[in-house]
Amino acid sequence: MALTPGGETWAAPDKLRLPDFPVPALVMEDGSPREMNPIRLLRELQSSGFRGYKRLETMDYDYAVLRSDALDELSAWLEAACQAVGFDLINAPRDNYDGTVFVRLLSVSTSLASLRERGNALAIPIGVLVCRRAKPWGNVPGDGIDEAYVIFATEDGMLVYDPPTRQLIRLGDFPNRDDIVQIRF
Amino acid sequence: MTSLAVECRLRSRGRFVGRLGAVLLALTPVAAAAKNRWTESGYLTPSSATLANQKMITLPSPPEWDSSAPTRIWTIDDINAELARSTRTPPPVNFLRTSFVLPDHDWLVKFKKWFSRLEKPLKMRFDDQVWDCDNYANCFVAMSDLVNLGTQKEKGVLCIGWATVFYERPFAGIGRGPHAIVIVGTSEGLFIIEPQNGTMAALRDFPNRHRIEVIYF
Repeated sequence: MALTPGGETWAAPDKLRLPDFPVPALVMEDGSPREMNPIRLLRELQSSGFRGYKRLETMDYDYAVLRSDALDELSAWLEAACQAVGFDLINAPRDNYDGTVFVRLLSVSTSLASLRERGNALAIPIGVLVCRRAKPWGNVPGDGIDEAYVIFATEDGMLVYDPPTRQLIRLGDFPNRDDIVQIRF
Repeated sequence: MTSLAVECRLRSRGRFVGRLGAVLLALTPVAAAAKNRWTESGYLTPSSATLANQKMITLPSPPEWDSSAPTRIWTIDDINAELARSTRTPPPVNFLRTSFVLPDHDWLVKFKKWFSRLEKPLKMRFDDQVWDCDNYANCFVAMSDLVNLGTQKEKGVLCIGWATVFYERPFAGIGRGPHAIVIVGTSEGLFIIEPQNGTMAALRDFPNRHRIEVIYF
């Protein structure tokens, strides 16, 4: 156990003003959100090349399906929410970055917005994908460090998203697909 | 695949909801969609207009962080050692960061009260799937992350995570079955919090501490 001295000014913001939580755009069928259960989620992941079903955890029974053409609204919300608390997500240093923080924020905000809408009784399929950065992915280095990304279940398949670089890729094309440690929805 | 299926609610708010497993539905492949903007660029590009036109919500002020108090750091080994002292079956801990700032206990208690005040402005209410116990627990952690983000570089990551537990004994209004709770390390040790009503207990006093299945920081 280590002790480090305090003494800096670490005041919380006076008022927490956030962009209103984003209502996720869902794929609809016959007027209702399309459903996807954990088996279907697994099947979608497997069809994208994910191996190791024991590395998938699901917390709910029925998930909606996100519309891939509306994901930029979610990224806009995330960036604006970070700005609201003085955090520059786009220039976040990679060495002290934890993607699970941003998965949680997206998952919580969209779920709460969906709850308010009252038209959807399904869990929002925004999950965390933890993998080893074995290979570089665009601006993200391949340095062997464990990393967490957002994974969206959409009508366009499973999509992996890295908030600081805004990179988005199909799981099937994700360069570190073979080094996935865990996916959790 | 692990289906943890944690969706129990406070008994005072309604019946306990539990289901035995996912139903295997027809396995039709999800149709490939028309080409989207992102497939051409490989990037999500939120427009500046979208960013500028976000409607804002105002939440109560989060508690001030006492900057004069010394900051104590726990490594993941410290957390595992604490778990080993408090439970017969120390659960696995999922983490990406390896060290965490222990918030002052009083600050954490204030934060917990602040979180309960968010229920009304954020219109939180229990819902079997959309907003159940794992969502409450995740929300607690997410709000602590958010409050901390602006100063995280200087302060570090707070030791606030969540856990799945099988409740053998009723606790804080939750009956027998799978559940999700918040787990925090403070200046006074490891504690659990029931985020649906703010009940807080030292891990060593938590009646279901031997049935914690996994912890996520």
